[in-house]
Amino acid sequence: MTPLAPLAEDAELVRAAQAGDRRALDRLLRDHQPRIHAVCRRIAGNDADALDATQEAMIAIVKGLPRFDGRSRFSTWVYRIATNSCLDELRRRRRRPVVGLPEHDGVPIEVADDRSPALSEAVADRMLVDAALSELPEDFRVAVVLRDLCQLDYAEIADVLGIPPGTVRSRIARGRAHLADHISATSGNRTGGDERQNPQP
Amino acid sequence: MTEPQPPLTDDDLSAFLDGEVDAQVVQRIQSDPAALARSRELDAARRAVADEPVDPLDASVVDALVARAIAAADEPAGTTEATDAEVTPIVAPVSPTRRRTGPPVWAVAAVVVALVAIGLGLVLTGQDSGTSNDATLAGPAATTASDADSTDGAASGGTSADGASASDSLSPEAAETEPLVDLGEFATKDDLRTSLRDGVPTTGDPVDAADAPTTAAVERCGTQLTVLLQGEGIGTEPDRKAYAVVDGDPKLVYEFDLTEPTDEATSLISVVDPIACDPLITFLR
Repeated sequence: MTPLAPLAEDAELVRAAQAGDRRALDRLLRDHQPRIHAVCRRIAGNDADALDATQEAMIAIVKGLPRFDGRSRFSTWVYRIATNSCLDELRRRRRRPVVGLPEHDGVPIEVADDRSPALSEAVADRMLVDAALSELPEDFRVAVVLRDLCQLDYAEIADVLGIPPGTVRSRIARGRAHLADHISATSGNRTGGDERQNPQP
Repeated sequence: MTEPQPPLTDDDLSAFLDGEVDAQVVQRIQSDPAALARSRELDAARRAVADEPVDPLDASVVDALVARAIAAADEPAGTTEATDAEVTPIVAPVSPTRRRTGPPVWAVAAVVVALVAIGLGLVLTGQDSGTSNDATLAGPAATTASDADSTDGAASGGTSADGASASDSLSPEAAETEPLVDLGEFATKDDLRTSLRDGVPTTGDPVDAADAPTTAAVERCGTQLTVLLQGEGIGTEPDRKAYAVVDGDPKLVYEFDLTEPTDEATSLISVVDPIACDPLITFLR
């Protein structure tokens, strides 16, 4: 994925939006929507929760914008909100009795078999990443997504998550280690064998 | 003799990939084949996350997300605001135990604003034929607004002073407002499903104003369902919508005509909770 680089004109748009310019606010939201959704999609692991979290994040941005004071980059602030919205959404989802796809009454709906041999390699790879991320503890997953998808440095991630940089470093490392093992094992299964080696440093 | 150094760890190798280690550690890694092999594994994991695209949302979904977020700007300041310094909790959790309540406050506020704007419009229209009608025409609108959610009184009061701009910002929702057909109360979801044997009716009694979900909630759940059920041969939005109560809980009912109907089914019906939009039942008809 193309790195989600900060947008140069953010500061000007933020000032205008804070002053009540709805067009600037609209533009700001549209500019940042892809990264908000990408973060939510990777953390949530499914489209429905990601959509909910994206909506909540955008609302939180609009409501919090008047008090954004520019001490951090706007994009970092956006990531912080997106991350929190997504974690909130996951917590809400866990509390709900009904999770996931709806109950199907009447004529059954045929859901595409994700394991179909006809499935394209690209989709399979995407699902592999989703599956691997979903296996990670939430703390590790968030840190990895903020680093590898959002390209935030350790200090920025520490700021977003409110944890020390050393903890960020550890979570990213452990998250990547889990991912590497999962991807390696799954790739081995997909190619008919498990030839993974796991050399220790 | 130099002191033995601690072994390199995944922490070191991962930080190495991010350029977050000092030159000495870099040198150690580069001279250690096992460490380099492991760093390549970690790098593969890094690239898997960094390079794998996330499917973008449809333009219509983005439009809806942005419109609803901007509508939230008309809400009074609350405890859910995010600041630069403190950001948790960003979003107030929706209580799963609330019964007979509508969608999020921001959505209710949006509709309250629209109702107030409509009320003002009626008042202004009434002024043309005589001021004696003002109280009569404004009264019901104000009553409806306060019934919708008493916590939004500030919103209605705040926007009534600027009715024109509020109305403009919410014009898409206001324009599409139409009463939902009330299918009635059902003891179980099966009872509701049976009543939907012939599809969602387009005519019938409208939902009582006090119970009615907001237009924003109806659209939000419709959008989420459309996304959730994409690939099931449905169009880009629900074709019919209705309201029902199942075991005392309000539900929204959506029917999507199938783009390629068969002898067995011509539409897909889904019944959802109006707060979380979680489907209760979904079936082909």
